[in-house]
Formats: sequence, C-alpha cells, structure tokens
Amino acid sequence: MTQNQQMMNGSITTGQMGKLHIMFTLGSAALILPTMVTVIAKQDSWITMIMAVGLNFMFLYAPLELAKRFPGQSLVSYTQQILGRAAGMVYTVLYLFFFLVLTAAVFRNMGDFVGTSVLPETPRWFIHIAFMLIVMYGVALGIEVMGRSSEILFVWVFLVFGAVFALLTNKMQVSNLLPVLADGWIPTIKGLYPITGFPLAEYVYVMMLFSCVRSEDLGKLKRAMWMSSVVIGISGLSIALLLLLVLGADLTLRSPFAVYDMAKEIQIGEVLERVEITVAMIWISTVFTKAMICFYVLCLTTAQLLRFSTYRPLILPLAFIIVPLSLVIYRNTAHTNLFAFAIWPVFGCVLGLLMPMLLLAAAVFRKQGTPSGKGMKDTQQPEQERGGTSSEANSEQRVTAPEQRNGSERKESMSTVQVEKS
Amino acid sequence: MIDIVLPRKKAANNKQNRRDEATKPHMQPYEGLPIDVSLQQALERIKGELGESADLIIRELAIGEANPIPAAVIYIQGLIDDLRMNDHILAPLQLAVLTPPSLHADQTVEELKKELIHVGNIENIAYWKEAYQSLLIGSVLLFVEGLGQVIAAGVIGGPKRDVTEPSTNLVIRGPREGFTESIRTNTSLIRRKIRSPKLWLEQLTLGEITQTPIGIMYIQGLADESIVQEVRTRLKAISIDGVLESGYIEELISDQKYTPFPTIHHNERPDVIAAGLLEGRVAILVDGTPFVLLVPAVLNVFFQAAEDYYQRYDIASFLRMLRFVSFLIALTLPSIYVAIIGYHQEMIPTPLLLKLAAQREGVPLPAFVEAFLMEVVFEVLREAVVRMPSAVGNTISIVGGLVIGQSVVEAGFVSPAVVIIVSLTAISSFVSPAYNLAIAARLLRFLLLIAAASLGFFGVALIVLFLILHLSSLKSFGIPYLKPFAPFFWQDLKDTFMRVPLWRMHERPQVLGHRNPVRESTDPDESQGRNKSR
Repeated sequence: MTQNQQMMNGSITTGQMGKLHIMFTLGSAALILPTMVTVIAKQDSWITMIMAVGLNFMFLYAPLELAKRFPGQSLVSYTQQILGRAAGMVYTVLYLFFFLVLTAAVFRNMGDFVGTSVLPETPRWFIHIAFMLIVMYGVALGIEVMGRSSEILFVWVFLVFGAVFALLTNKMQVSNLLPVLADGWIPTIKGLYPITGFPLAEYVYVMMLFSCVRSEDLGKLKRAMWMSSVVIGISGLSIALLLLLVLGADLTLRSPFAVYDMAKEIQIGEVLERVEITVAMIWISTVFTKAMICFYVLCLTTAQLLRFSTYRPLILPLAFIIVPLSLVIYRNTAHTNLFAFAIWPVFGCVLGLLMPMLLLAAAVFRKQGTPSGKGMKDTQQPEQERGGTSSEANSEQRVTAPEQRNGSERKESMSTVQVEKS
Repeated sequence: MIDIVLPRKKAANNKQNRRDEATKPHMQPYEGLPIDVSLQQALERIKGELGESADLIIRELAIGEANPIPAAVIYIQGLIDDLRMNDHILAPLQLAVLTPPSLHADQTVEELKKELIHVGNIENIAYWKEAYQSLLIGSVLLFVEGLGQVIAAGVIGGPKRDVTEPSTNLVIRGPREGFTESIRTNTSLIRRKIRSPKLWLEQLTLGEITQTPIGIMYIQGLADESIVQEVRTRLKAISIDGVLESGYIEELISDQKYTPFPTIHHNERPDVIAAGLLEGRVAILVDGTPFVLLVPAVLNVFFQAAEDYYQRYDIASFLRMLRFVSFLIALTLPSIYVAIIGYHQEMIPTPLLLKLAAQREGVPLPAFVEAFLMEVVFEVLREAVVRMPSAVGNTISIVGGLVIGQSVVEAGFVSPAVVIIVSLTAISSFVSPAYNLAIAARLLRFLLLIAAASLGFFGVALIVLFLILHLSSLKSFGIPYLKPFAPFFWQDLKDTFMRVPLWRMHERPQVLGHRNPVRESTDPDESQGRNKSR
C-alpha cells in the first residue's frame, strides 16, 4: 500500500474500479443524456451511441497511460513531477474547480429529477442536504467501502434494468426507428457533441482514482476499463434503442427524464403498472455513486494539494460549499440545457481530453515515469493463472499462500477426507 | 521466605501496575504465594481466604499405618462428584499402607499419585493461586504435611443440565442435541462430530473474578492461522470482572462496536458449529452458556439454517431465497406502505387504491403515525410475551391479537391495512434463522419508517444506500461483511441465495481465504483431474 493509498483509506481491485466507472458513467447520464442526443440525432440516436463507444477509449487513453507511467500516483503528484512544482499546482487547481463544479452539477441533476418527478412539494435544499448526508457518510468511509458498495449496487442496477427491458417488450414498435439515416450521417455525428462533455469529459476523475487501485492489480487495469467501456456502450445503446422503440424520437426529445417516463409505460395486465419509482430508486443509486465519487475525488485532490495527511477534515467544509453551489449553479431548466449543450462540452473537453493528452505528451517528451510499466510485469503473472474475479477477493485476504503450496495440501486434505469416510 | 517474597511482589506491583490496582480492587493477595509446608498453616490460610465458607469441606486424615502422615482433603461441596471422591480418593488414602514411609516430599507425591489416587486428571500445584483456581473449578485438593505442594485431582461433578434439544434453531430434520452450560460437554459434543486429531482446542480463563473457562476450537490446517491468532489476541486483551454469557465476549471482540448488525455468529447446535469449523471458521466456547460463537461471520451466514444442508437442495434453495425476501419485507414493508400512501399513490392499481381510501376514510391519524404506533404496540407485545410466564403469555397474545388488533380497527383508529402490514412484517421477521439479525431489522425498520414519512421513496432509497454503505464498511475479523457479494466471488455464490447440491460444492468457501480449497468430491477421478488441472 502506497502512502497515497493509506491516505485514501485502502485500495480497490480493478473489478471494483470497473464497476465504479460503469456506475459513474450511467450515473447522471442514463437519465438525461438520451434526451440531449435525441434532440440532435432524432431516431438515429442509437447509431450515435454506437459511435460513442470509440470515444470512450479516446477519453480513457491518456489517464490509463499516465497511470501506467506513474503507478500508485495520482494526478496531483504526477503533474508536479512532469511540469514542476508550481506549474503542477496551477494545473491541479484547474481540476479542483472542475471537480467542484462537477460535484455540484451532479447534485443539481439529482435535485432537479427528484424535485420535479418524485417529490414536487419538498423544498430543494432539504433534498440536497439529505442526499449530501449519505454522500458524506460514504466518502468518510473511504474508497474501499465505496468500491464494495458499488459492486452491490451494480448488480441491482442491472437486474432492474433487465427487468424494465423485459417488461417493455410488449410496447416496442420497430417502426419508430424508421427512417434510418434520413438526413445522412451528419446528425448522428453531431449527436456525439453533448456526449463528449457529459459524461465522457468527466472521465478525468479516473486520474485520481487509478491511484487507489491495488498495485498488484494495475496490470489488469487497462483490460477492466476497456471491459467497462464496452458494458457502458452496450447499456447506452440499449437505453437509446429502448427509448426509441417504446417512446419514439418525438416523445423522447420532449421528456427531460426520458427513461423515467419510459418506465411509466410498463403495464402488464392490471397487476404491474406505474412502477417507475423503482427506476427512480435505481437511478438515485447510480447518481449517488457518481456524486460520492466526485465528492471523494474533490476531497482527495484538495487534501493532496494542501499536503494533508487525511482528506476527512475537508468533507464537512466542502459539503458546505457544494450544497449551496448546487442550488445556484443553474437558474432553471433552460439554463441547465444551455450549460449542458454549449458550455460543458467545451469546458470538459479542454480539461478532460486536451490537457491530459498534453500532460501525457509532456511526460513522454520529458521522459518522466516508467514508459513500459516495468514495475508491474511480475505482479501481472499470478493473476493470469487464477483469472477472473476470484483472484480479486482472494488477494484481499491478509493471508494468501503461493499457488504451488496448494497442490500438496489439497492431497493431504483429500486423504483425510477418505479416512474420515472409511 | 514467604515474608520476603510477599512485600517485594507487592512493591513491584505498586510501581508497575498502579493503574491496574486502581481499576482492580480485587487484587489477589495470594498472587505468587507458594503453598505452605506446614499443614496447619495451609489449612488456616485457606480457611481465611475463603472466609470459612460453609461449602468448603476440609477432611483431615492420616496416611499410612506405621508412621502416619497428617494430610487433609479439601473440596467445595457441590462442585465435585462425591461418590467418585469417596471411592477413588478418600478410601485408598485411608486404607493405604505406606512401606517404607518415605518422607522426602517429591517421592511422597509420586507415591501418592502412582498408588493412591485413582483419578485420571491429576496435577501438582505449588502456588496458592493455582490451588484456589483448581479448587473452585471442582478439584479435590490433597494437602500433605511437609510437602509444600498440593495434589489436585479433578473429579468435577455436581448438578449439570443434560443434553437436550435446543430451544432456538429448531429443525424438523437433523440432530436433536444442543449445547449445555458446561464447556466440557460442549467440546465433547463437537468432538463427537469431528473425529479428527486436527481439531484443536485451546483454553484460557477470562473474567478477573469469575475465572470463566473459554475455549477456542478450530481445525488446524483449515482455519486461517491469522484469524486464529486474531481471536487469541482479542480474547487476551479482554479485562472484565465477569463473563456470564458468550454475549459478553461477542460484544467485546467484534470489529465494529457501533452497528446493529451482528458480526459474530452464535448457535446452540453442535452440528452448525461443526459445519462452521469444517469451513475453516473458529469457534469460541464459553463455560456457562449453551451459545457457542463462530467467527468470522459474514452477512450471508445469518441466512443459513442447519436444515438447509439436510434437506434436498431444491427446497433448501427455495427456503433460502424466501428468507432473504422475508428479511427485506421485515425491513421495508411498513416504510413502503407509508411511502406509497403518503407520496406515490399512483403506484397502486385503482381498485386497490379505492379500497384503501375507503378504509382510511375516517381514520384520524396520518399513515405514518398509524404505522409507527402499531409497530411500537407490536414491539411492546413481543417484549411482554418473552418475559412472561407461559400461562400469562397466552393471555397477552389474546389481549394483543384480539382486543387491540380487532377493536382498534373497529373503533376506526387505524385502518385494517396497517394491521395487515404490521402482522406481515412481524411474521416475516420471525423467518430469519438468526435472531440477532432479525433484531437489526427490527431497529432499522423504524429508521426507514421515518425516512419514508419525510421523503417518500427517495428517503427509503437514501436509507437503503446508507445501509449498503454501512454493510460494506463492516468487517468480521478482517473479512468484509458482504464477502461473497462484495468483493464479488462467483464460486461462493453457490451457498448464498441458492444452496447448490452438495456434489457441486467441491470447494470450501473462499470467503475465509484459506489455503485448502477442495472440500471433497463424490467422484475421485474428477477430483484428481481437478488437482491436476490446477
């Protein structure tokens, strides 16, 4: 465990990192993004979603390469290594504000949704504060607990999502997809524009979280992130397709929270209807994970920048900034849309794509870090032998014996079993 | 010599352990004091130390005919088996002919042990502290003039409850025996299940005053050595006046102090404990209670009943899932009701909504108050029945069920739906095989109820998220509490929501991360193949 990881209160496995990433991406995007894409690409938004998978890789490339060059180090420490102390500080401060705005925006998304769709009469500040209390609890518990809870939530999210998918099959109309590519490829490519800002540019958070991944797992990190990108791509595609098939492009682009409105369509006989609240609860749990990650990353960046030994004292003061900020960050829904369409993609792409790329280029140019990631090679091997998820939790044990010893001991146990039987 | 030893010891104690002394008024003055050489002195001392308690029996006698040696047999009445003492200790001593009477102390001891005391468990004791301990456990002490030692013969006896069917963790199919209050009976019950020399038992004494024997039992080679070591460390760190039940130990050694969820499993059934040991867990036995602790315990363990493994796997899996569902119902049903009635009426199908609305017509209280009050009433009833003599208990259930349940609805104070919800919740909470987990649901239900009343489903979702975070943060002896689910283990899922057939469970759960994964295989060829392929 590096000193960095001690501060973060533990480390996570690549599987948990991947699941956190999926939850982060689906977080606010699943509910809001389809509308934004459909506005531009109309009934071809699903093609846009397929194209977005490629962009996923693009946005993750620089952070992954940097993580490989600087294993166990976070954004804060390697920027200072690459750019020098002062420039690195300035660079990090930019991200500090990015994460601050991001956290507030996530809170606002949640508040907008809950405030308009679920609890229209409850004051917003109360919703935000209630949400903040639980987020603070999660952040205080640290990354390890967040990683584990994301594994639980991940299963639930996909179970409910699968159930919604299955229950809506009777409402699907393939004709909604027609005509395909009526206006050529241009609208579908234009549809990528909001996606770059939200959620792709937000991927930059991984530059902080990759340093929490257990060092012996780092070799598998790239694979896990690619895998989760594929999962994200498939879920994005299926959400877009589902919306088009069930609601059609016209209804989708009019609804601010399209998935939620789609779930209202569920009707199986007279038994199962109006179950959209379960979708809302699931969405709350993903956006919760996202808010937790954003807030955690914000705390961590601040703490590392200020050279604190722990981030915990920052939780409360930052919460006092975020809750009011989230209440004033947008004036109204129109402002939200303007921000999401016009400002966030530009703002986000500079910080989320351009600057990490430049940082990587600087690292390559100034020959900083270990280019091939030599330090990881020896740790890579035992995982390949075991493979899969079992190795993750296995090595979480305090005691992990070498594989070779297992063989002989197992024989012993076999013989004792036989003796007991006879 | 005694006079020299004593003050020095005390002085040292005063310097080093001043804090200990302050916290322990019960500091024994006989710490490190050797047994007196003179019989009379010894007898005076023991009488003084025990305050001439009425149940302290001192039988003075003389051993040998030609040159009789004065001796005394000392025991506590009721702690020992009188018959065995008479036959195997007193009678041989009194009939003994020592030839030649050797006066050298060590030889006398050997002679006495070899020839005269016909008891298996014998030890020599040189210090008063140990002498008192073994006297109070149930040994017969033999003092001999000029020896400066005591021979303690263990003839533990006295009243003891028989092995009976346990009153908790009942099964339809499975062994009927349960643990008793005697630690020795309990260890023997486990040993009869696991006849392996690798079943190891370590014993220590806890409780400054009660001196309660505690046993740590594990299968060497299966149990993770670091967990066994952790158990030892935590037990040894305990400093408490008395240990009257394993609950004391449970509370003192759990990882997290502030949680409603149990992180240590306890059970009254030897077969459950044996199964736990075979999975590589560690059992902690406490004298004086039939409840044996099993660590580490992850959440999943609390949903496993002994019977799951004795029944067919399909019905066992069904029951397992039923238990998970019941737990969720017991936890959330009242809050879901309150949330739906208060905030999300659209979720209810119209005919049902009309019915509910008609019922709530004229009910003066809001749904939350209704549900909250009825839950409280139910908890009160439940607590009342637990403590009452069984004859009165019936009356209470009649009063509770009929009078309150029925008349409160007829009077129109609460709607019948709430009564249904509360009773469903109550029944579901009894499904859990682990009582201590059901208690957690009982407490958290109220938290959820308040959240549902103030924020509807959003509040419920927040509390559920809070619980997931909390559960993820828990650990039991270093093992994450949600282990097979998070961190996720595909292999271990076969004994969680499902109980797959035994022939599919070749491997021990990896939850405990031990080094010996293969459990057994019905097909030897297959198991060899598995060994090779690994």
